[in-house]
Amino acid sequence: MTDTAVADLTAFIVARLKEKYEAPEETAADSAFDDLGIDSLVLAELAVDLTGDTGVPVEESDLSGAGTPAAAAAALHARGAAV
Amino acid sequence: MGTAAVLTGLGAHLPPRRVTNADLAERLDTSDEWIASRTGIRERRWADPGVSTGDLATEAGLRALKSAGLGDDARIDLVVLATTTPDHPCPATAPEVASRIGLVDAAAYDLAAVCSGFVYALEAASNAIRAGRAANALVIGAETYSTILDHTDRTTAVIFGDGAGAAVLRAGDDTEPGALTGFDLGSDGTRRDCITVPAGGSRQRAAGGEPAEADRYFQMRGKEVFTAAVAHMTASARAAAARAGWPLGTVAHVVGHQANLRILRAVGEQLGLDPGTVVSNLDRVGNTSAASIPLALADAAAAGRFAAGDRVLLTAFGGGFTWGAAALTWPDLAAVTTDERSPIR
Repeated sequence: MTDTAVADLTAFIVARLKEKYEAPEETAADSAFDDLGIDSLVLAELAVDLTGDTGVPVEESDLSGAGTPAAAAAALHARGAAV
Repeated sequence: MGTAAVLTGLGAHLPPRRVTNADLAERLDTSDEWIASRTGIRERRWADPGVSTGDLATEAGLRALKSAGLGDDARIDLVVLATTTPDHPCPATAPEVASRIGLVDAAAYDLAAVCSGFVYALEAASNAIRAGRAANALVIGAETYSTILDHTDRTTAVIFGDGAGAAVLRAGDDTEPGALTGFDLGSDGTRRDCITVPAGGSRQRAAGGEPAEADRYFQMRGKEVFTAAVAHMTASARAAAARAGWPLGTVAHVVGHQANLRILRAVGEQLGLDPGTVVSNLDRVGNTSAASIPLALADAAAAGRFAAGDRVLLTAFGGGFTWGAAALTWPDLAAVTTDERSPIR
């Protein structure tokens, strides 16, 4: 159950990065945010999206500190976030 | 029906000196593309040496009175000046501005809520009018951030501009165009370090010694501010709309504090509103803090963008943290000119 929830959250983050923030098509669960060619405000914007979509307050530092979609999803899931 | 403060005039004043992104790129490690893509700003105005916040406020106030159809013999009971950059620590700037405008004996005070200042000031003036303590009021937001910027810091020096905007309010009723019918204000002082000019007040002076050079200037933790601004501007706008009894779908325009175009877009998205409802003029003026909402209102009015009766939500966020929102039914305003030049008294 937990694995599925984390996988769903990871997939949500990857899809959002590609569809809304023009991250490359090959962006994956273990892609480093730093390697996606996105500017410094995109993680703040993604944090806003995740806050709105999961109901759990998310900060830019939660995402940049985790480093990848999968790590961010695991950290946010541990705080109760789900999509 | 009930008593409400009603907006009857708007005025704006920008100092004439334009500073483009290309101008800044000549002396900072930045570029037009970098600034525009991250902030939406193309140029801003900076006051010339010798021009203060009070100078800009005086001109905006005069223009707002003119827009309201009030002449040189106007009587105004209350002047509230929202600013982060007063002319001096003591006295407040508002009494001098009131006198220069010719408003004899008006109650006049400054209000400090950083970028939320104009909404806070509107709420204070609205309360005075609704309580019967003032028949009318002049609310001004004015700033000269160019005087507090660290002009070597590319993260803040490119964002802020100088300017002033003003609104005239009078007592009326809450069903007429121009009525302010719902407010929401809040703060969170635990986040005070995110937006600050550390030195110059009693905290630093009481500690003794000379402050660090950087502490004399404006400092901001941009990414923390971004997410907090979107969250609070969105929640506050919802609360003000609810107090006015407005379903969000009936809101025609959202005039947010002009902090950053990407913040404004995110607020519109979080509110579930069409992107076309989000009003922005920050490409031409940058972030003017307490002046930004009246400048954006005056700009939209001058462009004929709003119709009388349109539901307009104002929402702001700033240092403190502070935030606030107001529900305004758009008035039937006379033409508002924002760039017209006239001599400062």
